[in-house]
Amino acid sequence: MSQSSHSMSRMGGPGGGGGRWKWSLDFNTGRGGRGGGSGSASELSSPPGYSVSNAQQAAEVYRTADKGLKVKRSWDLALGPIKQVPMNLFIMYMSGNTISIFPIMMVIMMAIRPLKTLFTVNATFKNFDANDSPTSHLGQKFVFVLGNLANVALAMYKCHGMGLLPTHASDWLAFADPIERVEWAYVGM
Amino acid sequence: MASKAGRFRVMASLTTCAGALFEDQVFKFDWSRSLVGVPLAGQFWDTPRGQSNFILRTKNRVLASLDSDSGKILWRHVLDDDADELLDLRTTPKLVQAVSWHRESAFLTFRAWHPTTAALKQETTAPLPPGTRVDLAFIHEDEVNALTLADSGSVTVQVLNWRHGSPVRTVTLTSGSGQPLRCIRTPDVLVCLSVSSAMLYYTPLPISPKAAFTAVALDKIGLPVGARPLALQTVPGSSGLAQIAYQRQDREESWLLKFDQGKLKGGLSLITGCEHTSDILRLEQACANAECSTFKPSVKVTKLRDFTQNVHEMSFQFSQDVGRLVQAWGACEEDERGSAIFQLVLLTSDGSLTSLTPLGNQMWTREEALASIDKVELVATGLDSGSMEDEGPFQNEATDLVQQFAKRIRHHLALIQSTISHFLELNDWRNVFSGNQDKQLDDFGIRKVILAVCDEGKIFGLDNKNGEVLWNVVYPNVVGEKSYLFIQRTAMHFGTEPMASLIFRNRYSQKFQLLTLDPLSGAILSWEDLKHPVDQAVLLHQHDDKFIRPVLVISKNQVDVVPSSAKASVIKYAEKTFIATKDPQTNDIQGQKLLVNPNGFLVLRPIWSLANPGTEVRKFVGKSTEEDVHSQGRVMADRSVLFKYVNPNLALIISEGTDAAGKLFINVYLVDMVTGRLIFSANHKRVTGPYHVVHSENWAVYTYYNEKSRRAELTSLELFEGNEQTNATVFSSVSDVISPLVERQAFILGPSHISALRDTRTEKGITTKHILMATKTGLVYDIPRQFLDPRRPNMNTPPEMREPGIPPYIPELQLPQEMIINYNQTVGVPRGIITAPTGLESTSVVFVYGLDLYCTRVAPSKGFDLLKDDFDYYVIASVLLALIMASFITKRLSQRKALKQAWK
Repeated sequence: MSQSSHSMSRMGGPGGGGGRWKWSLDFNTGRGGRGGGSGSASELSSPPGYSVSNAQQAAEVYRTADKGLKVKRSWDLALGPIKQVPMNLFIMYMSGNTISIFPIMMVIMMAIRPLKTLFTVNATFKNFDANDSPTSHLGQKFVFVLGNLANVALAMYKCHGMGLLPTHASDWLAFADPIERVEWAYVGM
Repeated sequence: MASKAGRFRVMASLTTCAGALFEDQVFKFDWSRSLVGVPLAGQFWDTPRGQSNFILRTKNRVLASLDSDSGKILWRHVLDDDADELLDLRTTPKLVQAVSWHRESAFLTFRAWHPTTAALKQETTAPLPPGTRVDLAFIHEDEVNALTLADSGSVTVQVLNWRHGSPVRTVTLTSGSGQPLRCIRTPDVLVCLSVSSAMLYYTPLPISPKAAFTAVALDKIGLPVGARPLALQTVPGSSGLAQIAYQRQDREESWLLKFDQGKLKGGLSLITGCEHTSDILRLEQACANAECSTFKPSVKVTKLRDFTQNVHEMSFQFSQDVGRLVQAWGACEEDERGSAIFQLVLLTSDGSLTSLTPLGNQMWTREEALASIDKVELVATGLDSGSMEDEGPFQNEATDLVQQFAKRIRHHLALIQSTISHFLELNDWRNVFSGNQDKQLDDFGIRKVILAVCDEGKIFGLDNKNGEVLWNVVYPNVVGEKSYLFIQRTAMHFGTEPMASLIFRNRYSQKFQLLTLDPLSGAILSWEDLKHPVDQAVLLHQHDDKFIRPVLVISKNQVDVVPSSAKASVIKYAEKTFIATKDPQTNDIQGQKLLVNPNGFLVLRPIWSLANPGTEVRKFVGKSTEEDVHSQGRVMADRSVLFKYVNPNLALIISEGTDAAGKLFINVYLVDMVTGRLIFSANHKRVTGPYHVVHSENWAVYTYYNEKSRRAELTSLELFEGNEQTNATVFSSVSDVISPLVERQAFILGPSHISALRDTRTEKGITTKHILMATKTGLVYDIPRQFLDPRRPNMNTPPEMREPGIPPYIPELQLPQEMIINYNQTVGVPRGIITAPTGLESTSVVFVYGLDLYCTRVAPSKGFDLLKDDFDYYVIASVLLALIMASFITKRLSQRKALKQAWK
């Protein structure tokens, strides 16, 4: 948003700043024709659409919008995972509960991606302010983690639905040791 | 419903077709050995083309013809019925005639076969009055004489017509001896001996209506004073000879009788006539003792003419101990120069047949004792690398850590040594990669020694790979009944030899003896008399500090430990040891606890008893003490667990009785042997034996014959605890309060007569179990246990209610041909199956014995830990090599290309 507003302000430049006709070719701008030295630089005409005053003004605008935009951006980022939830739900519904390679790959991706991002929360929010301490953006980070956890939970739920989670006694049956016997009885025949 | 059944049938056949065998796999993993049994009588028979056959009848109700040059079986007929007894055999130039007697139905059968094609030419049945007993029958001319030897000493002869079986006359011969006689026939005379009064009676054949015995006292015809007659024997192939075996001063001798003519005596000699000539062959065996159990006995054969003139003499030494000469058959011929041509077939008391030439060379031998295996065990050779077992709790007491470490190092050194020597022995390296993979498979503990104790008192060690006899020892006084064979120490303990012990009753002294031997080499380790008569002998599960599993020998009021050095370990476990026995008098099942009384003796104290009024216990089967149950439950369709009721102390009892209508019925009980608690009981009406039981893990399977429907049936029981497990770590029968759910289902079997039933056993018990079932027709079926699952759902059960892996219930058990593990290698008269685990969890070794032997291996869950038999080593290796080479070449190429690019 800030980017577009910035360019908008620049676009307004040529209309207000220069009263000249659109384009002109100046054949006198050869190297030899110039006197050289520092004074010659100011004689260079500005590129079309560039206005010094406008640039300053835009920087002003940017600086004033910066704080609110950052927060907005960070909230956008924090809410991203939660926004993915309905999409994931739809994908899950579509992929079905059969155990085959694609649903399993999907579930694994669904679980792995949020898990990965969970480990890089600070790095994700670093872009917003390099100088900020890790404790800044706490609310956003919290929501971001929550959203990722929700995605992981969703993947787990899908695993459960597919029967991939060892939640039943039967899943642990193979690990049980043989029962020891206390008495030894023998048949004498 | 019909289509469902059809679909299931297709499914059933599909699941098993992978178990079938390819043609090139025949005898790759299995072997079979055909036997005829120990001969009772034999005759040489010459084919019109001049080849000589040896036709014989044996103890195993077999009539067979052997090629007398090679000893191979040409044809063989086995009498179907157990009650049928083969009494006489006669060969004529065109026929082989036999008389058999059916004990239960009291009829004689006369049969005649073609001598070379073995085609049945005649079969006549001659019913005798019910209740008749026939002890001896013989064919004389065109008549069959059936003799009943009465206790009073009289002999009733019923003469029947050979062709029609009609009675011709009945003659009663009285001797007045007051004792039952022993009779034989020579070609022309019926001779009877009264052992107690030492009198001989004879009458000429044919027996006329007015025939009577002529009596002769034995001492009158020159039998030495003090001789105790033992038996009357025929002299095969002779005309008019018989011999009396008698005992004098611990020696068995025999006396030749030729009526009104000659007499002849020798050491322990045997006389046989020479067929085709009037000569006789005298065989003398040099014997050191009465049992004649010398190592490598020698036999002197003398051919005599007119009883005196020595025509030919030779001697032969057996390469191994064979016991005593029992019978000999000779066929003689005279060539132009008058030199002796004869063939001799010797039967020795160990049940082996040896054929000799006049020069004393051995033509062939047959080990016929193997046709009557009594006790059998499979013993691991311990040659595989993973064979060192957990040393157990006693190790710490006996040896310290350093010693244990040294022992393990020595074990591994020995293994390295054997591996190196194995490779040095391989002179053909091609064997390593192709064809002969047997040596490699030893690594998996598949090699076993089949330790077999035969009725003839011979003990064999057979190789399970090819059936080769590794060793044999002869103990003529080992008697079959009431004998026990235990493997007390396996070969898994490095530094100690394996140990098998045989407890048996001596045939002569009637005393119980204990024979300990090394099952791998056949070396006798010890030989001792037991102090008391043995009622029961039980092998305990624990082992002492020398890794010997002790055997409890239970007498009337005495409990001994064998070996006695293991008593400490028995006392240690006495508190937990229970023994359930069947009382032979009252027929009760009695549970007893082992106690140590204040004097330090072991005693049994009865704690419970189960009375079976009016019934007799036929089967009493516990679970194997070596068995591990590795899965504690069954997973249901909803992923819950149905826990198994795994009570290791459970025993299944089948007791048979007769109901008011005179029909047989059986009661089946499941009893806890510690507490005597009755877990389950069932009753089957109108059923008869044979009963066979397999009892394992939490299930039992038993078969019986349903008389009402005239078919064999199989009932399957399975016990479950429920969805909750009361104690997942320890099972104690004393604190057991579970009342298990008993699932049961009966199935109809296709084959009507089941001879043996057994379960497969694997190392850890993880592999699913299969049931091996041998039928009387000689087929061995390999039935997956899920087919016998009592929880097989009804046909109409909707699919979502069914459990995975369990086919719907159909009363008839489908047994497709692919289930027959012995494909076309029919096992003659199977009597038992024994299985043993191998080092591979998937594989189980199977040994089927009976008249024939058959050994193979089965993989119940397919060979999941094995490469396929037809695994293509060449292709895999060449592909791998090609890939490696390709990677090297491309690496080189890419390097060159990179260099060229850099120069550009």
